[in-house]
Amino acid sequence: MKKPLIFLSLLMLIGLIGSYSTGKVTAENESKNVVDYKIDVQLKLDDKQHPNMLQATEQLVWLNDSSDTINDLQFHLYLNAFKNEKSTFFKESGGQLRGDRFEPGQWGWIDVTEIKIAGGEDLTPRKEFIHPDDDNADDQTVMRIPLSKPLKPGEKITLDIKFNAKLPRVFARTGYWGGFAMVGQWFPKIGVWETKGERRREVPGWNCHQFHANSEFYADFGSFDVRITVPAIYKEKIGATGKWASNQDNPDGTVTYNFKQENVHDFAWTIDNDYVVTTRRFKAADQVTRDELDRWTEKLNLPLEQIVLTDVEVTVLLQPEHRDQVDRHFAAAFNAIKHFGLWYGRYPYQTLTVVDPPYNGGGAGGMEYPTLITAGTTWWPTRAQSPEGVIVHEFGHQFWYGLVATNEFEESWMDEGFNTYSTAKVLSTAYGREILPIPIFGVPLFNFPLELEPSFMDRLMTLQGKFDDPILTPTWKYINSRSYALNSYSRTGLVLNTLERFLGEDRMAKVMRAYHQKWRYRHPTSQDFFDSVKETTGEDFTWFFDQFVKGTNTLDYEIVEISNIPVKERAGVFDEQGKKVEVEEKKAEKGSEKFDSEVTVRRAGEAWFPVEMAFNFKDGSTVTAIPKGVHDGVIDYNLTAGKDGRQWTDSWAIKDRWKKFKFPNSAEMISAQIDPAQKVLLDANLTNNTRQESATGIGAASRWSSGALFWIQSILQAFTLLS
Amino acid sequence: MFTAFFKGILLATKNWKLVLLLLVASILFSIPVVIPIFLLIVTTTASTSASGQMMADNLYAPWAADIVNQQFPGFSLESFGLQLGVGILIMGIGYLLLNIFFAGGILEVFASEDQRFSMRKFWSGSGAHFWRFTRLTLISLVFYGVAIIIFLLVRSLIGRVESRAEAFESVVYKTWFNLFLLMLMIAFVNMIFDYARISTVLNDSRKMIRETWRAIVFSIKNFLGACCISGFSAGADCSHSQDVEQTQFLCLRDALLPGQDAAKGGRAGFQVASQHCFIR
Repeated sequence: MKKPLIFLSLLMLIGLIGSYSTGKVTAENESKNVVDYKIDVQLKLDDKQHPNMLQATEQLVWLNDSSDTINDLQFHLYLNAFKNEKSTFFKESGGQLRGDRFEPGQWGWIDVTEIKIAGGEDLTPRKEFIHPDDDNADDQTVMRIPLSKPLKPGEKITLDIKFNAKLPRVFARTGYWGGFAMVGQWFPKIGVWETKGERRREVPGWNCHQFHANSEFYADFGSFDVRITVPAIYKEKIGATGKWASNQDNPDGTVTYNFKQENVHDFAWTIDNDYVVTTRRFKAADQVTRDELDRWTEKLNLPLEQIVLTDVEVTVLLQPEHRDQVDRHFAAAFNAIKHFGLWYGRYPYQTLTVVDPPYNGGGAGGMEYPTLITAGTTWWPTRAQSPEGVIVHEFGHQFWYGLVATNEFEESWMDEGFNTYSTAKVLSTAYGREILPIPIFGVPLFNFPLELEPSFMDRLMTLQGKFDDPILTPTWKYINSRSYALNSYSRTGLVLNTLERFLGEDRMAKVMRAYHQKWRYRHPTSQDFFDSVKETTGEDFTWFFDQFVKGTNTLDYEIVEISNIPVKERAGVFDEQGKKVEVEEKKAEKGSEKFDSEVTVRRAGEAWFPVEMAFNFKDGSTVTAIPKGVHDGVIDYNLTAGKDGRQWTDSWAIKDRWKKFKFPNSAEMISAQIDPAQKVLLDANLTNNTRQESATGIGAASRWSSGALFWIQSILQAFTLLS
Repeated sequence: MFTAFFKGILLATKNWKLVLLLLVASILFSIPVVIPIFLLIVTTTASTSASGQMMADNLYAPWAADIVNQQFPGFSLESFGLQLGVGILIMGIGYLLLNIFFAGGILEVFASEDQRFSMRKFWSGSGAHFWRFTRLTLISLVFYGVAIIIFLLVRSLIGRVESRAEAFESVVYKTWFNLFLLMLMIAFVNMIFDYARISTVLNDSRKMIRETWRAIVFSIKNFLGACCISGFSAGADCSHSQDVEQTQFLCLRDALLPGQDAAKGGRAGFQVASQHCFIR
């Protein structure tokens, strides 16, 4: 038992040797450092002692990593989304987002007071606001600075920026509430220059979108060195992206903290004088067993050193009223670090901070930033997987957004959806099925009689909605926020889950691992993922992605009918050798009757899928129909009789809405099932996937309608209070 | 008080026909909702393997999702909740009227000399007292309204604190206290009008405002005893409901349905007996 531990420790030591002392990632996979930020920010209290005023200087070094000559720079100024009701964000959201309502008067903004080329030209007079996504001239979330001297390929530019900002009352991920502040999207952040061909772009240019109601973020990788000065009441009540490098008490009673992190594309921080701060170490050697490492080494066919995880220092910043949930927070974070790490590659950063926003500060909850996530829990958690679900999900974004830095504006499914799929897998592995409690005044007294695997929870949520948009739609172009949520989260989760069940768990693990590793610290597009699936599996899944990622068709197969026509011996009068011969009907011995059985399968939805089928016969035999391939618009099936191993083939033209499978001279068919292993979770109606030849009893209906009777009586009984 | 309590239990148990009648009426009232549920399950699971899966203690998850998606396209909690709420309200009002009707019959049986159930006594009592009890119910709505207004006033005060709160703990106890206060007020109003109905039957009165006043005076004068009797009957009701709701056994749950109606008869029995005790 000790040997593996020593071996593991050695491996981890090797992994850590490549690390710097402050926030450097492990050396296996580096990002292109396009931008370096050095920010010195002071947080001040307003007249009402609210922590919402920021005064900062920022030194930004940006590398023109492209082969293009660049004539301007573009920056995100996201806090201006909260500046007034004319912003695009406000117009789209109507002042409501993520269950939160903006309080008029609690505005937030950012004002760039000075922007200069270091030691050179003052660019401040040149700044202008642009609106690349819409015609909203009032939107000030994107700033453009034309350069008098174009920036040549490979050249660096250093800018000295001064800015002031005011945080809004907590709303849409950022802001203050009481003594709490979540400072996200708070500094002038440079956009991403995309050269021709990069992310399949046809014309080079800035990718710098306005802040939309339904969109998140996209930025280049770089390093952050941030000094945060806060009033003394926030001493040791602070959390931020990256590793705490140092702190110092200032003569004016403030405290300055320095956080550093490399290979990330954003920086956020938080303070609350009420935080209960707890730090524990995720020790990989303790959390991951040798068996698990061996299993994943074998499953992914990778050397052990690529599977083994590294230690992470996890800090949980909890509200005092949630202090008894501290173990649940750590357990969830540890589970997430472990499972995401084993499946997609180790979490490369040395720290993780989990933030619990205060009551009425929920707008800041459930959000991801590099190495810092905000969760959220309740005073009396009613669900077995809350707060765990949100912690696992937000941590998952370290992989799908943080490391594989997809464009959340244009392809939100690639972060939210991939993460929904991954979260469901972690929750399922670590916590099992979800129960649905019915809280009475916040106390979970009863459970709804339904236990759902997380993947089925996605199914329940997805198939509720109609598909107005393809999954692959820019976030601000969905018909509404419901469609954005449906497509970006649960529908994608379902698509990937179906793909996993179709490929098999091990192949899917390889696909996801390969895709993640290839695109770590890069900005892949949807097509890059499609290509990655093809590369890893050797199969072309264009038909799948075209229908379910780029299309809106519904998938639904059903068994329409089973028929069994008895095969009779000849009976009647026959002419034989010039004579009339009467043949009497012979009755077959019981159990040896033969039938011409037939089952009709219908494609009720517009979409198609090479579904498996199983046909069961009264003599106990089963025939399975396994699709062996799709060619020229036809699905070829291999049919195998389980009893004698007899095999034959059949086919189903994709354009045909139905297909009859015939079994001449067979035993009586008693049932048929489409997709017996329930691989195709995208099927809109799984109930009609089965059919039994004889009608079933009314037991189930009696069982559940009598339950309904009881509940109706109980509810009605409440009205008799008045009688 | 204890004598009254046990006398009430005896009254309810020996009038099993009354309990049976209430049960049948109650089930008949629920049937229009239960039959569609039954048919929905039969039609959607017939000839599929889902029916076998549905015999488990929990709903079969794929079926549950399919039923929502196929039977309620565009399902949303908001729209479905509204439909369900309005449906329950309409049914609830109907059920309330039925119970007001039956309350006269129950009390007539218990207030009679032999305290034995007979159809004649029951139906004549139901008919005789229906409009009087309906008037009492309408008067009671004013009292319930006052209780709810007090609750909402306190709620708005708590709401102000809540909107400024940085911790739920500072709010939750106040919220619970307010709910407890509401329950107490409703129980008290409920108790007053229970006694007003009893008094109406005992005195064959037609003046409902006077009976309400007498019940208030009675409840205040005999505050402790009256509250205890109400408490006993409420406790019996609640514990019964809790037992039933926690059980996973179908037969037991269905067998306990009559208990719900026995509790209803028992409650009236307790209180008639109690008022007898106090009056005598």
